[in-house]
Amino acid sequence: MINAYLLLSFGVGYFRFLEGNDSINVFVVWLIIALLKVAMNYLYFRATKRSVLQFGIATLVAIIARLVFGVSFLMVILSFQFFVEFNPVGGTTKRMVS
Amino acid sequence: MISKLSSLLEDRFIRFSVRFVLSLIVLMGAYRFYLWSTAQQEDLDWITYQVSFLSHKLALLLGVANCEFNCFMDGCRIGVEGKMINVLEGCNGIKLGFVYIAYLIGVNHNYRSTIIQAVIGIVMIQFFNVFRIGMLVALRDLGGDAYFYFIKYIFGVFIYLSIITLWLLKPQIDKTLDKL
Repeated sequence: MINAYLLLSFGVGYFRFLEGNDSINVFVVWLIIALLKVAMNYLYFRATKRSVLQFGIATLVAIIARLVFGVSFLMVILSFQFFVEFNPVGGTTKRMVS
Repeated sequence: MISKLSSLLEDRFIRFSVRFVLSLIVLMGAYRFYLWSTAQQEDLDWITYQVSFLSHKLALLLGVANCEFNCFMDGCRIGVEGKMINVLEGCNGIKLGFVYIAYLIGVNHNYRSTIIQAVIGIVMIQFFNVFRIGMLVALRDLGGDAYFYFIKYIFGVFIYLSIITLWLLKPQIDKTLDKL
């Protein structure tokens, strides 16, 4: 996840470069980054075999926390992931079977 | 419909989500109010000031000569003249602390344990944060590309590691607190 975050940072850096050159609109950059984060988050939840409901709730809370309070998206996602990991009754036993 | 809703609310994940969100709203609301009140007094918030002050002290300990420290309403400036860094409200790490506290409230049912772990968490996050900013001042003083590389890629991950460490250590902390 940390590696993925670093890769994302490089990607964000490239988009900021394009934005600086006026090659791309600020809103488009924001939207691409937001969609990338959600897509990577989905892959993270799939890889750790969480349910779609868990992915949906965690992503919704993270998006709202990011937009309203400026809280880190990744930290909110990790809060939910750690909760599921350390609470097997509500988490691992209900993991989605793939 | 009602039975489906009540069974949904009994799910531990849903209960955690509700407690986590409510805690985050309360904490961030109180913090926003505090920031608003300090802005009304045309003053800098205490947390950003203390983080900047301690980072300045650390930079001096790391050997940054002639390291200056000036604070304004929107933040502090630390470093050698011409190579200063800005420490703004967003750099004080308190929002990460609030995420951790919201997590603790979401998980724990023991208030004593929540309060103790919240204090340990805030201290640890701020320790990492002060170290990060102090190092940043030292790197800026040294010059070269290291500063830009660290500020863009390394230090963001560095502060996240503090909270991840706390999450990983939480089961051990719980066991220790139960014994006390």
